Amino acid sequence: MRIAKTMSVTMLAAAAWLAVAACLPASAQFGNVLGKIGDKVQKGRQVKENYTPWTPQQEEQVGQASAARLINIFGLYESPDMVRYVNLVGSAVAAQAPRPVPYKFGILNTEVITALSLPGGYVFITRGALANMTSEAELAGTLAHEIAHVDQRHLEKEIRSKNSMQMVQNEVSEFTSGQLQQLASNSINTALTQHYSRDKESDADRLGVTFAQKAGYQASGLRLFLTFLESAPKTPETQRQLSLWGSTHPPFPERIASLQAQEAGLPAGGQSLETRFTGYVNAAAWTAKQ
Amino acid sequence: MIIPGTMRRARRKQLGLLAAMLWLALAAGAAVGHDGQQNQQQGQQQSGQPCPAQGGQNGQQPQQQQNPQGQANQNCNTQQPAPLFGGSMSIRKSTQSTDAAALGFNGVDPNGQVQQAFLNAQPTPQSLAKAQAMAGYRPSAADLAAFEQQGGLTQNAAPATAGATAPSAH
Repeated sequence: MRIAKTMSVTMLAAAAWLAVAACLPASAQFGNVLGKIGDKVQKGRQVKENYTPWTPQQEEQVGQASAARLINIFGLYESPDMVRYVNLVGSAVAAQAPRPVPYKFGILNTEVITALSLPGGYVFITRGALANMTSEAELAGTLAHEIAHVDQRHLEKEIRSKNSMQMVQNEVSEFTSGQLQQLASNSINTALTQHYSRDKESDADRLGVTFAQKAGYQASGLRLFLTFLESAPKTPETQRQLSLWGSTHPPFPERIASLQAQEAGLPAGGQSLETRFTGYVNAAAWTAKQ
Repeated sequence: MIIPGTMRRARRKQLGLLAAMLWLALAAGAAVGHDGQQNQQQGQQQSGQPCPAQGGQNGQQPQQQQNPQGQANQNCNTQQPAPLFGGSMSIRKSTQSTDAAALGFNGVDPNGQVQQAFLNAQPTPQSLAKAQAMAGYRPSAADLAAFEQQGGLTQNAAPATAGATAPSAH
């Protein structure tokens, strides 16, 4: 009986030792993960400390690679007249932005209502957004918000804060193919699935209104468009159209109130240009449906 | 006094216990080891098998390796949204007169979110070419000036911020 007990205790001890040994790699792995987190924090600090904006060439590289991915998802609406019109409105507003960026504007071929921008001056508005605007001032205000994001390098800063790969950017004039694909993937993921910080969104609203107003448009364009969208009934269809906007921008009421306060301090006037807008956007190419 | 049969049973029990403990330890180790891989795959697993974009005009779909299941795509065809201009909505949708136009939500799921497979997909050569073409298209300075003049924008436009430089292409 004693022998049996001794054997039993020995075998249990062996089993326990083996169990601990089997778990050791997991502990080591956990330690490794902690080490990696530490490395990333350290690299993040270095990125912040050594922050140098992307060069225009790097911006263009990332912007074009990201734009290709975006076009891959939604497709481009390629009506020459409408593309030209959106480019003219956007260019008029972009001329008021302080940073020299070669802006280009495209129409994404989707009923989703949103607008977004990428590094290098790639600015997009969707077919669904255009179909729900009623004036050139609304279009100008919406594009101006995106131009402000580009002007302030908001997306670039977001990506930098998440990715330490750009550590090497100071030493190279152009990104490697692998780096570029990673940056483009990060850009699109950030632009389509995440909020900018409240500060960045507020900056873009504030600067955008200023750009549009200086270009000669009514300062209320963006606010009027947001007010219309906010008043839309909450049906599954409209939710689907607005979901992307909602997931990448602050709530409508918050922005509308802030824009209203800003407008109060600006001189009245400016162009709304409803007739010109409907001439380009709704007359021949599209039919608005209720 | 220990009867041999009883001792054999005790040994069997002990061996069984040992085997069970070893199995548990190995299973725990394996679970931790695969944790990182599971995290990496989680996004794709959660998104399920996405449908390709409806962009018939563009023919733009994620590359095959991103969405290789043809059967899944067939299933997606049956789950496509209702016709775009049916139903009553007080928010408008666009329609296009060009026959090449593709109407639809392109790339978003029924909740209006972009499908993970599309986010991860490499662009097609056609998409790359379109992005390059977009970069090459900008209205001329004369066109822009005429456009601003026609809209009465130049009369209201304040001069650009001091020290600011207009984009060279404008």
